[in-house]
Amino acid sequence: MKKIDLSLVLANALFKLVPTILIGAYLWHLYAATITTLDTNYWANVLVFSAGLLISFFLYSFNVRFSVTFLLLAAVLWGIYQLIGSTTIGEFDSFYYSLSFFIYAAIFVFAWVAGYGFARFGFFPWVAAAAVFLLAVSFIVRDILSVEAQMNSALVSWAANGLFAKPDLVQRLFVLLFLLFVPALFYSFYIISISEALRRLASVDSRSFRRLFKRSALIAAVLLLILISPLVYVYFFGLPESFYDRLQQAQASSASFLKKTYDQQTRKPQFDLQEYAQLLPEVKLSDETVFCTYIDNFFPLKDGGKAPLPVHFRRYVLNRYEPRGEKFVLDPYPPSSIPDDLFSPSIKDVPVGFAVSDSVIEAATRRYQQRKNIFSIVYNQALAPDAYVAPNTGYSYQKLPVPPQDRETFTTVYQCSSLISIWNLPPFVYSSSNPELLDFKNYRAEALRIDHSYEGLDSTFLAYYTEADTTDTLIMNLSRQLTDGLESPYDKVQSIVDYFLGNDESGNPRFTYTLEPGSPKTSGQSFMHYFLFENKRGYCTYFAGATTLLLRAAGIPCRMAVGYAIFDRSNKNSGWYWVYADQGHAWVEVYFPSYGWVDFDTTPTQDSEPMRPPKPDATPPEYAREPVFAVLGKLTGVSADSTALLVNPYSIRYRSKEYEIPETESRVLTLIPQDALVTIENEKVKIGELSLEKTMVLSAYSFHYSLEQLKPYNEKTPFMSWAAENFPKKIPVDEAMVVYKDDAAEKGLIFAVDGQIQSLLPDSSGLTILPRKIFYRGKDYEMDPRRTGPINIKPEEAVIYEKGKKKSLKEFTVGDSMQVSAESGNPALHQIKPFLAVESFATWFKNRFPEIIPVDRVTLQVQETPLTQRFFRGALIIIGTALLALLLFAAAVYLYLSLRIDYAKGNQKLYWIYRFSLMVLNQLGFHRVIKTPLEYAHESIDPRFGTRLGQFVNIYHKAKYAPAGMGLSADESRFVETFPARFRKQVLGSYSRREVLASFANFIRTLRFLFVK
Amino acid sequence: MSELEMLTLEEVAYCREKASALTHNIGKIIRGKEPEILKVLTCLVAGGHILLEDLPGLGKTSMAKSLAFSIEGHHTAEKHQNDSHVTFKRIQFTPDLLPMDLIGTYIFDDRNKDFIFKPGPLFGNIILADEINRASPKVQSALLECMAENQITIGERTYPLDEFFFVIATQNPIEFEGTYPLPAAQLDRFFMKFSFGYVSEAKEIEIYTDYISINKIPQTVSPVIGYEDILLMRRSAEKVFVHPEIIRSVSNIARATRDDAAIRLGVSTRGGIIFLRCLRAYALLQGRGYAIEDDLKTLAAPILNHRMIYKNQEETISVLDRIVHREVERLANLRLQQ
Repeated sequence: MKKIDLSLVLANALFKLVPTILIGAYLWHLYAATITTLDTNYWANVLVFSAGLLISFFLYSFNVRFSVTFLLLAAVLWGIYQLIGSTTIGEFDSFYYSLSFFIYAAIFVFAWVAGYGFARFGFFPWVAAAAVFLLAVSFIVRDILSVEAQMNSALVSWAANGLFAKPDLVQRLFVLLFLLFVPALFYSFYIISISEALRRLASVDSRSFRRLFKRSALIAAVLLLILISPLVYVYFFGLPESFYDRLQQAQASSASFLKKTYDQQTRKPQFDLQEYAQLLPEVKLSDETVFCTYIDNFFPLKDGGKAPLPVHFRRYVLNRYEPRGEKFVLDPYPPSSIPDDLFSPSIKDVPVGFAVSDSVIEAATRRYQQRKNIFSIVYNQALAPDAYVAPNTGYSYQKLPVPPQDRETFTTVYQCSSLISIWNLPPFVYSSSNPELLDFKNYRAEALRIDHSYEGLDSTFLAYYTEADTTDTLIMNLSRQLTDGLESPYDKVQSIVDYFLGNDESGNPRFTYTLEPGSPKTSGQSFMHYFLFENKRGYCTYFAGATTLLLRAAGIPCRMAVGYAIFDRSNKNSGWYWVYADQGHAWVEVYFPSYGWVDFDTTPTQDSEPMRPPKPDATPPEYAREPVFAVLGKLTGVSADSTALLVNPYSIRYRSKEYEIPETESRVLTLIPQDALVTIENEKVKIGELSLEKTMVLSAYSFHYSLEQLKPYNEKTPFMSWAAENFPKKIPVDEAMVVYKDDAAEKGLIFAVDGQIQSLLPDSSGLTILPRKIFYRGKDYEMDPRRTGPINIKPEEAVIYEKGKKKSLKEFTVGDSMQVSAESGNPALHQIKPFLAVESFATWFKNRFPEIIPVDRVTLQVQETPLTQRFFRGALIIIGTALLALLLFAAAVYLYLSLRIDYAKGNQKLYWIYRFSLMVLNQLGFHRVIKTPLEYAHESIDPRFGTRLGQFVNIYHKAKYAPAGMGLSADESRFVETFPARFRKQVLGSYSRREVLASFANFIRTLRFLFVK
Repeated sequence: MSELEMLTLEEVAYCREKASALTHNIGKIIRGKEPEILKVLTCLVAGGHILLEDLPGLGKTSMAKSLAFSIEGHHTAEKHQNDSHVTFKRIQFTPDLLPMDLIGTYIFDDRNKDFIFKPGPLFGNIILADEINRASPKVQSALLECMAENQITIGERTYPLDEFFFVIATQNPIEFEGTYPLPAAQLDRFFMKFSFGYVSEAKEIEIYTDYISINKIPQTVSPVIGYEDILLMRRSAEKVFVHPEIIRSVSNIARATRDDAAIRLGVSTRGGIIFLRCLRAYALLQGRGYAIEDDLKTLAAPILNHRMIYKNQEETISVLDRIVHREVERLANLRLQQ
């Protein structure tokens, strides 16, 4: 029995187990955080793991028999597990306890086995290192493979957002490599080197302890340095601009659907909503002001007064539910037959005074009954510049000048028109005691109840909006339970609404509103089920989501809408509303064939945690009016005294009507801006300082009375000639802005398109493609394939490039979903007037661009294997090759040594035979360790195999140490000649072929043989 | 090195034959202790002396006796006994022992009316100095002087000792009361210091079975090797080849003991020389004309351990083991040159 040195055991525990616990805890942290199903108590897990590891390690360091103790432990744990599983405590089923006990027991047993390994097996650190390494690699691969799965680990997402600029896969890969690979690599390196160092010690004194400690501290310091280096970099070189934003963004992104970004220049926050909504255990909302609005929607009262009726402002509709991740998403490509009624213009570039609208949405909505057109004005304070919010269903957008005294507060003002269903009622109506409102409510119920038939509805539409997970029996049952026996869709909807807003048997509200609903207790349980059947507490996404699922289960077409809930808090300023970031909201839209989409809100508000923030409404800003005159045109020159701008108008908006000026009729207008200032790129510049070298497009608007006093345009003569006669010679304008500056060189790239090939042109000179994305004059435009038809492109030569090679279009055959990209710098395209956002890009494009667009070059996009796949494949190949190389490693060394024996001359041969024999024996598990070769041969090998290694070593020693004159005798030479073959036969022959193969696959032995001296 | 005469194969074979005969002969008495016998013989052939630190009753005296009885004596005038073997003397050291008890004294001859020298027990070939640490330092130094000088000086006269003069000293490691522990400088005179230790169970039973013949040493052991052979072996041993790398290792070991933080006093250069002498003798006894790394490993502890003073007595073995192991590994991994 070996004498056990306590100091050595303690040193082993300190230097091997503590780092193992640390890396284990770290990996477990990432693992438990990335998958929510393992949401058990993290620290308890770590504690149990450490306890198992340490107890087992100490126990097995002292010659305790493993099999007996382990079986005993397993039996005890199993017994307790069975015991817990079969008892019931009061009403509670102890299933939950037995399950969590099982998890803890599993962790404990795992740690126990690991501790046993550390205590007994010298090679175990290699195993641990490999395991940690593989675990880290598998994390990386798994994460890369499910990129869409949101990374919930705060650490990883913080680093991803904050420290690395490229917001794509490569960046994520870097983060993961950084946060997972580096520590795993260090651990592997550390545990192997420290265990080899410890293995050589017979006992540990203070000196060797210090040396070991120094080594560990050094490795820890290097690791820390690598992990901290980005922070050090930031400290010394500052945070790059874009990093700062990402950092802010990452911190604010905890709200489930609120998206907070920062303006590049002003650093002011900008709010938008995510195009998805998710069920989270907790959300934090900001209380900053987002926008202020005036809604022209009132309920006429009999006494002549009117009650303001605020309506929800919609940003997105989330029409698809992803059961995996329990996420509601905006489906970017729904079936083409589903009409799109979400108006999302690129509003950033619309010139002040001008309007864009969508006639398709407008026409489609006007089809429904009981719609009324309302307008609302949005004073944007912190909305993202591209975010268009409007009451359902908005179809137009007009940018208005910000009233001068409010320019500090508001960035833009726009007016939008919406066709709202008169059945859209604000939540307060439900609890209102106003008899007229109650009457209206009943009237509404009657009207909606009659509209009960979904027959004749497009089947794709119905199927798309009633798609439900029929395997989810809990929700299907609840839906059936709530809607059974009810005839009309409205009654079913109302029943579900009442379920959420009503009281239970004891008279308490059934559901309550909270921002911190928490997570399900049982790991892996659905958040939705937890909300519906256990917790009954949640925020708006829970209510809207649950309602959507229940309605769809009942076969009623519906979808979730996200936007802002509007609350009336003002007694004085009727119709004015202030909207704060925490008013971000989700509700449900239900489809009625006659009335279209009608809003229903199932989030309770009468709770102790009210949705309505206790904020007063501010004084309303000055009412933004539409300018009487607005012009958009090419700047042709400046007057001699630098006070006036000469503009060749493309488009004029006068008295709420827009006139497009044909080029032939265009005449120069002279505009006199206030103080002779022009706004260019957000800065005011004196007219005299304007450089006129580049083509510039100017937009200007005017409220001037001289223009208002004119007699109306009679529409008989062309507008431009009428204007030339009637408008003042010098038109005073309130503000002039440069909206477009031609930065592209005359012959540079001006147009590019990505899309899918539909067909060849009949004469094979070009292609018909369905554009997905168009680049034009320095900007990218996403094209909705449902809205824009195919376009024709014609390359200069009738060829297409594929992987850099030319291919004639005549020989080209169109395959399935072939993606191409084309680019053009054709002068003909330079002649086209720039796009100025007075209409949608798609319309403008259709009208302005030639039937067949000349392009320089068409490139076939070779279907690239996605990076994830390539990475995975590459990793697989590398790992496979590495594994194969390791498995064949011993064989290679064996072969090498055999060859050296064959080719060695004289005494060198003895050396190689010696190495060869030792290698073979080492591979079979006979390590020389502290014995000299001779002792090893005499004591271990020859008695075991009946070989004559001892004799050989004697001869080898003679060759090695004897004086040069003393050569080998003839007998000895003969012995050496036949020794290797005989030795190999005797040693390998005593094992079965399978055993030999297994031993030779053990590359750790080979590594140790080669590198550990 | 190269100036030295090389050993012929015949010489090696002869020495080997004699050595194995000697080992075998002693092995009849001292059972299961071949490695220790070999170490004793190494000291003998290297021309040194040995200190056995051991408990009573483990065969120290038998060792010395059987060694003496195995060597055929030469017939000189100094011969004191009529037996055919070399002289063997045993001196039991006690506190009241005087130097003259060892070296001899002048006594008055009545017939010649003169003082004649009566030689003490040191005038012999193999001397067993039992429990050397019980005698007073005076006696100890008298003995050690003889060992170092190989001669005895009394008054004006110097008497040379026999060329074959081999002291086996013993000391008891457990009872220290009333003893005079040997100082480090004197320990240095002994080539080796080691213990016999207990034998294995099987060997012990064998001893109990055969104790009658074991006790009758004169009957059991007859001379197998001549007095001249010992001198021949001593001369041959000096011609054993020691590879430069092994010499380097000896030097490395000696230096390492001086640099090691756990050792207060390291191995002296004399220690290193003794190490090399023993390596040569040991190799020869094994029938080799050259030393190998195993010799280094076997001999390092008995030769070096008593020449060092450790800071912490607990870790005496492990420190030297570590140093020697490093060197042996260096040699084992050394690639063959040529």
